[in-house]
Amino acid sequence: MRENAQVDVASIVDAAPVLLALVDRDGRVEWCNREWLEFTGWEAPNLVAARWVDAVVDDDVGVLRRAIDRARPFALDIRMRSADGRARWMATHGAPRGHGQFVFSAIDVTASHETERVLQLLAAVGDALNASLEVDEILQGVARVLVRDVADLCTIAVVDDHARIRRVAVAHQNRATEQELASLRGAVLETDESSAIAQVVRTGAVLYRPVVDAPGPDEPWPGPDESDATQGRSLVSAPLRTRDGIIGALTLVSWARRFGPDDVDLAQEVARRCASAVDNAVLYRRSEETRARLSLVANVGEHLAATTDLDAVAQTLARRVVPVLADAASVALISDDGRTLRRRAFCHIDPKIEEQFRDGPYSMPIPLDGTDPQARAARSMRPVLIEDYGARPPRSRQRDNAFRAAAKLLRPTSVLAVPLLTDEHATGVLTLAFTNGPRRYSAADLPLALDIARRGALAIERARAFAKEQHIAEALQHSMLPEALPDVAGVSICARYLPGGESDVGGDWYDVVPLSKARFGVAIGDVAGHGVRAAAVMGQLRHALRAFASDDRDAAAVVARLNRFVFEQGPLDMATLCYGILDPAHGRVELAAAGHVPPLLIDTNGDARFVDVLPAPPLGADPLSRYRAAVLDLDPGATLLMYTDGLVERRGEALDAGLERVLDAARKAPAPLDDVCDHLITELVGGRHPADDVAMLALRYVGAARGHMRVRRPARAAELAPVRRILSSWLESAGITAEDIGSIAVATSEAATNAIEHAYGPAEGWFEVEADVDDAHVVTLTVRDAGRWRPKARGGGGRGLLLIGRLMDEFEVRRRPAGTEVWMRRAPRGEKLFT
Amino acid sequence: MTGQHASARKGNLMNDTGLVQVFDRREGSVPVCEIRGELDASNVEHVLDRVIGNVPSEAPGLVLDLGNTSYLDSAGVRIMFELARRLRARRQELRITVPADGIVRRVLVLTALADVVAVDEDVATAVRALEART
Repeated sequence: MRENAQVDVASIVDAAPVLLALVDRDGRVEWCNREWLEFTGWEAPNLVAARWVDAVVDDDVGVLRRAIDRARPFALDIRMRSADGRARWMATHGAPRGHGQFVFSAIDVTASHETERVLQLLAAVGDALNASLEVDEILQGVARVLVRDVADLCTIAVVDDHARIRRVAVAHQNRATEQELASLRGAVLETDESSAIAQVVRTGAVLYRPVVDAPGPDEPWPGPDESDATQGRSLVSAPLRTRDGIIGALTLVSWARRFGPDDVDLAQEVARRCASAVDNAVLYRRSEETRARLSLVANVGEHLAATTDLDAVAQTLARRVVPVLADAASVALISDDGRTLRRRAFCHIDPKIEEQFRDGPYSMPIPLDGTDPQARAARSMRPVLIEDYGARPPRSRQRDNAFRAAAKLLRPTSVLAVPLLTDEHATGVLTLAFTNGPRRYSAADLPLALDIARRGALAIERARAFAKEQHIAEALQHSMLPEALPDVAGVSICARYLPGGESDVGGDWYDVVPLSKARFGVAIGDVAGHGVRAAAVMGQLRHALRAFASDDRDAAAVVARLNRFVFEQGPLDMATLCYGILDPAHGRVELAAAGHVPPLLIDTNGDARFVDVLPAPPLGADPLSRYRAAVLDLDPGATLLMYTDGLVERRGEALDAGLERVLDAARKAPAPLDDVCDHLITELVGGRHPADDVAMLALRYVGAARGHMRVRRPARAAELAPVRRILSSWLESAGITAEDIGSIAVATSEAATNAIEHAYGPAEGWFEVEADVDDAHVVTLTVRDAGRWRPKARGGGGRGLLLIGRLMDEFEVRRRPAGTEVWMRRAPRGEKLFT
Repeated sequence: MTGQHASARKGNLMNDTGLVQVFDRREGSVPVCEIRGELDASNVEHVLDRVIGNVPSEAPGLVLDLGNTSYLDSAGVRIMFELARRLRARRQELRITVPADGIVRRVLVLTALADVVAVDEDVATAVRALEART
């Protein structure tokens, strides 16, 4: 090597854009180049005293020393302190030269290192943002990332649906301190002028304070040590900005270092990403909520439409809005006296609280003139919205026990009471409450709540109308079925009626009408449809039948006349009918049917068959329908069973199969007439509620009228005429002359009048008439009661006995322990009266 | 003759069971009260009130027309005794018309009402008898 060549090398080394030094294990710097001197700001004369550790950031000294001690080549990224005191990232290399010496080189890579750090940080932020869909959770994650590297403290606040600024994330470099600060999460911030965050949110401008000493607008956060946290901190607050505006602020605080422009850029970048994530999460949540709410409305509507029971409607309403729209919901209806609201349904997300509520406040009436939001909503017929229940000014509500008890148990945070309006009045209130979490009601919730309330009110109105109609229909039907069947001498009659469907009222009916010549009209029918209309049509038919039947027509003519009547009435529903004229004297029945299921005949042996009634269209099908009657002779002991198709029909089954079942059941029926009816109902309807209503009319011909009859009635004067009629028609059918019947009727009626007027006190009793006719047409009668004749109030009683004595051949008043009997007998005279 | 005098005053009373109807009319100066249907313990009080309330004090009496009465027993007889007694107190006469045969006539005879009250077979005869009093 040449001398001048060595000089050239030294100048080249000085000119290189690389820090070069010869250092040793003891920390001395033997030599360095110009670049090193410029970087560190060292003076060349001081070089002897210089230690390389002075040029290295404290934190990185250890790693460098260890590398040198190993006496092997190394490459390390460490931080060195430049002349201006700032730490710079340096890519360093070391080459050992023996004697513990190293050639040490370093290149400033701060720029690329910063970029990489920022990229890493943003990647970590990105991870945090993707970790969840819960806004609060992701922002807390971001804050944690930032206190790892960038700041001592990071807070993130967002603007909620109610335009309040809520601090949702607080992270601190010291995890223990962060734990202490956890309670500050979720707090609503003061939004006055002095608040830095409010200012950022309002203006959208970054707030950058390299050093703040004054007690800040923010809370006095705990610093890194015991020192006053307000002293010497550095602060950056960047807005969370979306297309729709500023939705929050990200704030960084540091005590350890001053934030620089890079930190401001970083804060803004992270804030931008947070804003976007919050926006997405909110959009997602809103779309989820919208979906849930839309399906809620559809759901509520659907469920309400399927409900006709008032309590079920209220239940549906309260159940369906929890949890989508409320943590707790109740439906209260205005009481009949219009003074209170009474809860009809309550639902809470926590079943335990729901139970406690049911046991307690649920049944307490809510006075309509009280301060309860429900009462106010019902009164004003407007929704009552209490966004922040806890922040309400305290009211005097001492009178309102129900209100207090409910509020105490539920601890609502936000309440929305919506009136249930029908036409022009409030029928009740749907009350929604949040009891947990940040959810609050706002004006934005009103359209949905009102929509649900409107549907609820309609359903309630419908349920009430339904209940009312059902009540009317039941009353109508009850009033239209005969209260008691007439006593028909020689025939036992038994009737059954079972309401069908969901306790709905059908149009099934039956009737037994006394006709001339001791005959009776027997009818059973079924009007299409249900409810008030069917019951009303049934009533019309029944009355019309009574009118036409008494006109002495034959059975077919009555049915034909009734068919024309249906058309005369205008458009009526179709109806089926089976009508018979029963002649007990001859054991004969004449039957005509209009689209009705065939009657059943059970003979004396217990065998059963359908009566061959000529098929004909139902009433109301064709005004010109022709009907023909079939005549049926009944053996003594035979039973004619008329019924409606409710007994036969089962959904999805052919009519024939049903009829076969009726036949089977009839053949197995026990003998007593009541038991026949009960057996058929048990067998064919069973325990189940019949789908359609069922009516049944059973007639048993007990034998020729000649012989015996008995009738018992309540001891009321109004029963006298019916009993005279029954007795007279029976006597007529037994071949007794009209003259004899007139006398017997008077004598019997006199005896019965005595029983009614004298046998009983205020309590009602009964009287009974028993009659026998023998082959010589001698009539024997016994009129019986269960009382003891009291002294006669007027002279009438004596005149009555006088008449009995004159009209009958023999008579006797028998006073027995069980009651009083008047026994009398009359042989046929056929004499001309008053001759 | 009497038919021409049939007055416009016509009414009816039905009791709860529709058993009986009461029709008032005037034949000249004579009120005629017709009872259609059945008269028994369930309705006699109503009928008595109704009948007595429609006899003007200036009338010579009352014709009670039982031509269309299908049933009558001691309860009905009792109110007729009562009616006769009250009219007598007002110096008015009760006359009953009833067909010659039938159970109603027989009851009237058997209870001796016919001994106390004049019984005619037709309304015209009864009206004439009352008009003769004035």
